[in-house]
Amino acid sequence: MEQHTRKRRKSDAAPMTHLGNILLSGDISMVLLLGGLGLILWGLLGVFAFGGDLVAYTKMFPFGNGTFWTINYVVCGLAMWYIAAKQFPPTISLLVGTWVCVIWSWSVLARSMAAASLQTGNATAIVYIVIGVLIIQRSTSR
Amino acid sequence: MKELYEFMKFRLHWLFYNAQTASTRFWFGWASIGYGLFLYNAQTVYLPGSEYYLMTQLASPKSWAIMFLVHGGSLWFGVISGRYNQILLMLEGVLGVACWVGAAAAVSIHQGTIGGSFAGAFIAIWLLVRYPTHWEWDSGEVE
Repeated sequence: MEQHTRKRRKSDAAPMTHLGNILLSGDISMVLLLGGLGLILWGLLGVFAFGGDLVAYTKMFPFGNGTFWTINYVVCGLAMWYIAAKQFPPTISLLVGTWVCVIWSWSVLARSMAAASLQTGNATAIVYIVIGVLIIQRSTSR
Repeated sequence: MKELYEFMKFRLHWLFYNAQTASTRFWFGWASIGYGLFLYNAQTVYLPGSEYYLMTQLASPKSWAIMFLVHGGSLWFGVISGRYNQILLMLEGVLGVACWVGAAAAVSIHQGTIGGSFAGAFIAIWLLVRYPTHWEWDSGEVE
């Protein structure tokens, strides 16, 4: 009976302090591992199904063809796996976080000026920008 | 090389079975709410060329949006309040898997190949598997 009353985390921290701890120092390794998987799968999509949509996607950018952007995303995904496995080595994490922020911010900017049908990926882009900011924050907090 | 392989195997095993889920749940909640808001507002998902076209044939974008918003909201509530119970298990875990696996499958079938949305499906499945279904959880977070 008592078991069913134990529904609340025992913590001395106030809810906002608890949230702050999660935001600033929570373990985001799995976010990186599976977020990196997303980029690698996106790269596979580019390799195996480079259809009209993705050709239009790459045309949003001032330089680089489909192969360039496919390799960019796959290598970025692998780099996210690496820093997750190595527990955020500072310099490399800073570089990878910056890289993630730059390519996805660029994507948002390019999409905002592109055809309407290409703007469907902005939600994904914003999630990845947040991940990039988190990587940078973790690289400097260690 | 063998040492690196052993290290990676150990680290991955540790992450999958022992890593804290709070941060992943919080940021995944952000992703769900973002996805939900996007589906609620976007006008282009109905276009046949859109990757979301098959999703819109299965259910209306607003239905998807509400499911994603409820999922994201429940994740945030669960993380901030520190509560673990059967209702949140259904919302955070089961609803999350239904939303993200359904969306990933629909998007992938429409595109003809797997895509990045599969990562969201894997995160949802991982969170469901790791969700503590008993109160004496071994992380020390439960009384």
